[in-house]
Amino acid sequence: MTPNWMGVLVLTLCVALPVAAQDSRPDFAAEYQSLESAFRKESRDFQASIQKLFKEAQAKGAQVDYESLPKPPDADFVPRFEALAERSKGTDTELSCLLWVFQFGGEGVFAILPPSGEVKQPQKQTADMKAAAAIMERHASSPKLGDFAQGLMYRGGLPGNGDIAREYLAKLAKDSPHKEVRASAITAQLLPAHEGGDKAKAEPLIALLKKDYSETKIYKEQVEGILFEREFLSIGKVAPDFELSDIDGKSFKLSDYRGKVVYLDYWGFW
Amino acid sequence: MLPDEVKLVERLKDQPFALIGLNSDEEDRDVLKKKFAENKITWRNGILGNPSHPLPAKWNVRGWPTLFVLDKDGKIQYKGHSGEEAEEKIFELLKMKP
Repeated sequence: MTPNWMGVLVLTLCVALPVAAQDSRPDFAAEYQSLESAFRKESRDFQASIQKLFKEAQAKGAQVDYESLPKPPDADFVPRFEALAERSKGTDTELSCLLWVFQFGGEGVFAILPPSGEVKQPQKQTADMKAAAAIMERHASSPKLGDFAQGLMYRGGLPGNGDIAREYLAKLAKDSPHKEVRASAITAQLLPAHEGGDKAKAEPLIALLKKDYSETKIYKEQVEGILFEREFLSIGKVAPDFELSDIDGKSFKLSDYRGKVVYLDYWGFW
Repeated sequence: MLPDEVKLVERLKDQPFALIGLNSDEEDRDVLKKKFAENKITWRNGILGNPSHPLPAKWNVRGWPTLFVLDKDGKIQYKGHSGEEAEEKIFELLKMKP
């Protein structure tokens, strides 16, 4: 009896111990996944409730009271992602959390540039820029910073955080070891210069992108459009022709409308 | 936006003018056709089928709506996102009062 019991015990320990050891190490990636899906669910519920309010108001012919609308779940989740980032410091999960906080932890463009037109300076460092600082400090050489660069571009145009955002972009454009990240950061520097008509700033960036980055994803997605716009879509140029089919499946060309003033509207119901 | 366009098309129906929509909705044509009728969209729309159709990307359309006004020679006279500014340009080109 005794030896048998010992055998069972040893066997149990052999099987159970490694499992127990694995269990005691927190699975940060899984925690991130479940936090993220909880956030997605609450966001969907939030959007559904907003749509319902608008539909109800529309049915009654009433205006929606913007003050009484429910708030998006973003702000509640910021401290939860920040806490997970802190616990998982130095791992890939920390970067995922920081990127999340960067995306959703800002004040939003309407808080900073409200419809009233009065520009508000953020009073303190917002969660998104705090996350950006941590990303630049510990993860600046990650290959996952392409979208981060695009987010920095949008913040570069806002008051308060603009200088820091542009400084981070310049660093990524120069120092990232990953071509796609550098290309994204350079494109993020180019877009505002292009839109603002700042040729002196745009030309060298375009030359650099053409020379070294023409095979990157962002080049095909964004830079080619900018180049096409500069070449063919400036005021006074003849609009390039296209052929499309209409709602009845009949095809037509833009050039069919020569002789008329044409109003082109890129749009969707969504 | 849409109601303004409905009004504009009605008002300019005897003028050398055409509104062309470039629609990026992903719905089937039948569904879309119904929606067009509900919203009194009588003008021609090129159906792109989805927002990532190559045409808007090629035209560097990064926000919706993006608007262009072309003169009778097909030359671009306005590009931007403001329906009001586009309409001003249209009336100017048609030598009409807004």
